Amino acid sequence: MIFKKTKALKKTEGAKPDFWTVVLIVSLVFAVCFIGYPFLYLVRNSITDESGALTLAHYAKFFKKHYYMVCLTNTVKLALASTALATLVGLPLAYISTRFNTYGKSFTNILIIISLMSPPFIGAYSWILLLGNVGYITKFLADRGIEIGTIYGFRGLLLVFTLKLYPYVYLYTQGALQKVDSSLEEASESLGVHGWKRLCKITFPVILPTVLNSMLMVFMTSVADYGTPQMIGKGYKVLTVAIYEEFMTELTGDTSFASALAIMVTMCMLIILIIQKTSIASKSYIMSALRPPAERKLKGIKRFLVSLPLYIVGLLGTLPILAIIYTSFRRVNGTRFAEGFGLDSYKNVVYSMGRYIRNTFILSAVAIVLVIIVGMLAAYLIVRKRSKITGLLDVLYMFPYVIPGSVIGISLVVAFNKKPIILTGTFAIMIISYVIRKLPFTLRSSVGILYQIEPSIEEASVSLGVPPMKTFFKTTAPLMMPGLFSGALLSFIEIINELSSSMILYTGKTTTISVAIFNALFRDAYGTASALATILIAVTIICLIIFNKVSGGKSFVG
Amino acid sequence: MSQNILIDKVTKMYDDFKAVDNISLEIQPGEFFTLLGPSGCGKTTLLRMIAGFNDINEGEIYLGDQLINDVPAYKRNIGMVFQNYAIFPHLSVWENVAYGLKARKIPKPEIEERVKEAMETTKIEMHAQKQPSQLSGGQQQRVALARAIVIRPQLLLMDEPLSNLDAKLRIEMRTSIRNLQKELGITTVYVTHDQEEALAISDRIAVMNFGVIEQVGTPYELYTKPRTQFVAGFLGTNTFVEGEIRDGVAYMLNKYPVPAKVSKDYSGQVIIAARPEKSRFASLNDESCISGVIKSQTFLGDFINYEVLLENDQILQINEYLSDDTVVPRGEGTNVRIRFEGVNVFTPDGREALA
Ligand SMILES: Nc1ncnc2c1ncn2[C@@H]1O[C@H](COP(=O)(O)OP(=O)(O)OP(=O)(O)O)[C@@H](O)[C@H]1O
Ligand SMILES: [Mg+2]
Repeated sequence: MIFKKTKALKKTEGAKPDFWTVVLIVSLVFAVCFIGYPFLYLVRNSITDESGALTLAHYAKFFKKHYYMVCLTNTVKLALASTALATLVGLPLAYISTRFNTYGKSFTNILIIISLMSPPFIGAYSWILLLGNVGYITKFLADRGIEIGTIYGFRGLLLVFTLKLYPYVYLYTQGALQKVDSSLEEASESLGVHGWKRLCKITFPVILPTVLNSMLMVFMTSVADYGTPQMIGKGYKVLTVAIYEEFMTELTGDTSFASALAIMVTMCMLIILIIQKTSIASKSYIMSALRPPAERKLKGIKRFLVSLPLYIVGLLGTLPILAIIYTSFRRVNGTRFAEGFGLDSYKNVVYSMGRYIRNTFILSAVAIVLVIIVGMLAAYLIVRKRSKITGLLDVLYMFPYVIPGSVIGISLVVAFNKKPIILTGTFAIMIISYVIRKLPFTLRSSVGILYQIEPSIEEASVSLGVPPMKTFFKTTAPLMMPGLFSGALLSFIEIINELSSSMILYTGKTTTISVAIFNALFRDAYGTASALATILIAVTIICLIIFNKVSGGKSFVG
Repeated sequence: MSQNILIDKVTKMYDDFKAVDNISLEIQPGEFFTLLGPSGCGKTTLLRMIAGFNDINEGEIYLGDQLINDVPAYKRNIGMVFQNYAIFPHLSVWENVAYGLKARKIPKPEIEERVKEAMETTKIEMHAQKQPSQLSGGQQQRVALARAIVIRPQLLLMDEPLSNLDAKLRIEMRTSIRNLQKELGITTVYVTHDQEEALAISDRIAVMNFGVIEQVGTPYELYTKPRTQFVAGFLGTNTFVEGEIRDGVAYMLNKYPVPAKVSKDYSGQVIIAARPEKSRFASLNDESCISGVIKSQTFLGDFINYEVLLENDQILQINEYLSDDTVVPRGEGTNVRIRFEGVNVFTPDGREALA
């Protein structure tokens, strides 16, 4: 055997290693360098003191100091409340829109999707525009003697998160409800269970796993979000904000405590994920409906009443966007608004911030191309070359799914801010953080798609004389692309709107639109911020239109 | 251009399981060679070793005089037709067929010409511009065939290419594959678990079971002179009845002499294999013939198939041909006696033929 092996080695011509071996090594190196190593470094950082000795002091500090415990409870309280409210809004709306002939269904759907796709911190900012101390609505009501209290703090956060996140529940539930074969409900009716009882006994249990899944997503998103609480939270501190502030004050010296905080948040996310994987949410009773349930045809006032909630919530969700667009066209004088409308803010932006716009698009474009390439290649390894090593690769690449963006940012900074590899302040580190954050999504859909493609397609190509690498790019990749494209477009939207890791990683040279908006807001340059935000929203909507064309108006989730 | 293949003591292991166990074969240039055997016996594994998709744990495979163990699949110049056709769904029929030629950097006019020729040979020239999804199963099969032969491979491999087609099309396609293969003179290794298909299409067949080869031979040899009980049972129908050899004569159930030329110096217990088409009804008073009762009869047009419950409670099949109109179907429960025009005899373990 051994003799044979050496003989075999000699005979493979030259020292040209197999394409997939090279890909495996490169993807492993990438994953270990930029996901494994930084995170382990963060862990190490959190359990050592300045002299490098092991200590749990940083974690002890967390549990001892009242301030951090308050942050923790604040985070959980906010996430729970947001999840509950988002579900209360999303679930009934989904039921109404699938089971009744509401007016203008595609219009309300688009409203809801648009409110989902604009980044939360912009939502926060625009609610400040509307309900802040000098907001449009606040002033309107104050002129009539009505006081509405402050938007800052818990109330504002809850408002923003609910309106921002209920679309997850809505879209997932809608998808699930459309896939419940009507025979199931008819069977229940024929057994004498109908009306509310049927809803509780048959319909809801069947869609429950999907609903729970969407609720967990809402929960995780609200725990991980940084921009919204930073902007509208004021005194109501949550963990992501604490991490950021701690990190920025520690930046010059020791980052141990910020690391410990970051690990704590990641643990929270991990726990939620484990709950999801082990609970009913991981099961799915959803079948492909042969006969989707029919819509109840209502008439007159009933139809109007049923449609009303969809319009109220949909418009409420898009109201912030309108407020921003409106603000962006107001005339400005310095940072103050003047009477009338004009393109002042846009001129400002183009004049002084063209670079940020360019940065954003170049970074996002490079990142999304890398995400697609790495995602496809890694998925290929995971599906077609299954082994312990590719299993490890899968776990490594999926890991960032549970890490909040700011934690990814911090881990990259602490790992690469000194020799031998200094990446801080470069475009590369921004791209790396975007790639590892969005990879989990593309990877999962690539894996799903690959399972649908017969391996014999590749073998046919190889047997026709095309080497494995070319075979991949001539057969497998083109077959995967259509399925990946729509998901990638959504990831692209998320990258151009990305804030939490950019805030940690950016420098003057690598500022992006989101970061510029954020900074403009802190300078009270509302006009500039609105113009930048409008640009982001416009691009987002254009991408959504393309998406709709490509996916043929199919569901946005699952 | 056609090559012979030499497979020398080849083994393929999956962990501890030997999917292909020390197989040796020699296939002649231009031969239509079939690997036949039940599901899971290792046919596909062996075929994929020849194609280069499975590595070879032990042994050597030669194509012509070239050792191909370490030649990567894409350099072997072997055409392959897959069970599910594996047509590239994103390419048109024409592009599918031209795929291998483009990879070989063949000048465009020659590609045009060769694709046209291959499509004419396989009768798909009218579908050239269609997308694969617009083709029927049989048409897809022809595209797969055209795509494999257009590269003028040294060897053509086919893994159950007809199993996804309906019965009628299967017979039509197997004839055209056979004719095409003879016309091109291309050495072909064909995999199937359908013995009738194998008999109809092959020059020679290797019958496989549990990763080993039971017997290699022409369809006629395998059918008439199976060397093991497994081969006898796998090709056509056989009823295996216990017996004995005494003084060079074989006796069924140790009593009834059967016509078998016992070639070896053997006496003792044996297994006697009787085919329905070599069994005849005998006179009821012929005590040298085995007796039984008719359990059921099936009219099949040119013959009637009876199931006879033998005196030892075994079921034996017998065909009665309607060569003249005097044959009267026998009803259930009729007592009969049966004689044999020829039988095969095996050792009790079924591993060796005695006659
Ligand atoms: N990748 C694999 N890993 C482990 N065992 C395998 C693998 N591929 C095949 N086997 C085993 O090897 C044996 C031979 O498989 P093979 O596919 O060659 O059978 P086959 O003769 O082609 O059967 P069929 O007629 O069903 O296609 C089977 O028992 C199968 O379970
Ligand atoms: Mg097989």
